Amino acid sequence: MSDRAQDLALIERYVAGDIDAFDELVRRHRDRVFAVCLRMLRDRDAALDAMQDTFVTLFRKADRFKAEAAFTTWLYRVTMNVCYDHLRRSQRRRTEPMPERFDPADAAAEDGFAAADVRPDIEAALQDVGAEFRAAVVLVDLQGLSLEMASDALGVPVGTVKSRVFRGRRQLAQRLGNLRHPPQHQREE
Amino acid sequence: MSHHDHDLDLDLIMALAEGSLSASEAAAAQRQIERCPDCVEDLELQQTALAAFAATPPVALTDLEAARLKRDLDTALGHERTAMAPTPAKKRGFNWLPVFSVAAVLLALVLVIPSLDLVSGDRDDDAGADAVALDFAEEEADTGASTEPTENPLRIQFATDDAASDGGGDAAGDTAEAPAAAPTTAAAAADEALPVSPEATELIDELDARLAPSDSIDDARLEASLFGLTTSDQADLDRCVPEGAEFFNVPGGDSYTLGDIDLDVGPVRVTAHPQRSDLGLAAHLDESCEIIATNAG
Repeated sequence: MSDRAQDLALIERYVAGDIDAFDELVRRHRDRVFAVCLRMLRDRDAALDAMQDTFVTLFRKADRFKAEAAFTTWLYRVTMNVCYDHLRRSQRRRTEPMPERFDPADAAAEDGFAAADVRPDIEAALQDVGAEFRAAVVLVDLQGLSLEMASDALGVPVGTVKSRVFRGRRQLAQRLGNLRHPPQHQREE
Repeated sequence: MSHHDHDLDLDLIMALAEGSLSASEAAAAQRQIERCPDCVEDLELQQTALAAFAATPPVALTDLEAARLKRDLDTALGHERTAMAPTPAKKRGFNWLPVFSVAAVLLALVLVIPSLDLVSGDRDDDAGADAVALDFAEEEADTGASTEPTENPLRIQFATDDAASDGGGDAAGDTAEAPAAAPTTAAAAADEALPVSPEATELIDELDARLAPSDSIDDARLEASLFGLTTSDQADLDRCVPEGAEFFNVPGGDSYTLGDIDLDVGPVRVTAHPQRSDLGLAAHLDESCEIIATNAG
């Protein structure tokens, strides 16, 4: 039985009242949900919270899943919505705007603390990629979804996904370049 | 190739970077892109990003995090899971001790009390455990012989398993204040069935000392935060609990074996449920104190 068929069988069992099927769905998908949450939110604690919210949503709204779509795609969509929700709340708590476009690391930047806090790795660089672009890159380049599946998961046309992946990669590479080759005044600090 | 063309050639740059073109297509694409400096830069950036992704190790939950997920889901979905779970044919691990204890008390009452002529002859000897407990309380009221009167404003009490299963109810002041000198009441029997660990006793004392009566959910939240409780995900709770309700839970996986704790903190009720490896607290703003979240498994 294919993974997709197994997921479908489990979701049908769960909707019919088999609680064990829900636990099995969690076991099967928790790593990929966690990976998405971690890459979207970076912090492991926040990712764990978002993962919990995702599975709570699955528990309560599994009957809304339509069998014509892949369960993983639907679950990715739920996960992304939860991550966006967490990012919005995080933004409210921090009372500072979310990065909507790439801002290269620069010691001349106003937030010197944030600039000093980043680490030169991909996880850090990802956080400087705009959330929408990051979501596309995470699904396509890190989770291996096709553009079509990512389109379903993100609820945007395929062309939009492709554009976001392109721009997300560009932002990330620029950020990685900055992190690996910080400006002179930053190196001197 | 102009900058305008560059924007239109996103597909070509991505395909070249991803290596999805044939050798001849790639060579042609390379020649085309090299005529556009912006395109060359974009191709390099795409390749840099893809190389970084390829070198990124996979993400996986640790065993500890997987255990936390399970525990958190059990906490968040406890009552919903219980409602979904099929009724077992036989209740596992049922503790008969309270039943036997109560039966023994009733037998003792039937045999001993009539001979002492302490109660009237029309007493119903088949009354349940609660009636027995109330009789003791009534005797105290009549004789003024109450031992260790409870003055705790938070009304900490230990309830029976039945009370736990229906969410605790508002039993404070009913069986809770039965005198310690009457250990054979149903509540006392339940105490025996649910031995309180030293850690749990400390926890109860801490709750007693630090959760003062609160007039608002903010006060209750403050009290809870002082105690080290945290608010769980509010957005999720907003979807599933009545307006104005709050939920607190205790982080960490410390094991407690508790009787029920039922605290009135002003209009906010905090209820803790035993029988789990973690302790959950549900706080409510409404005066009816309806239980909206339990950890009773």
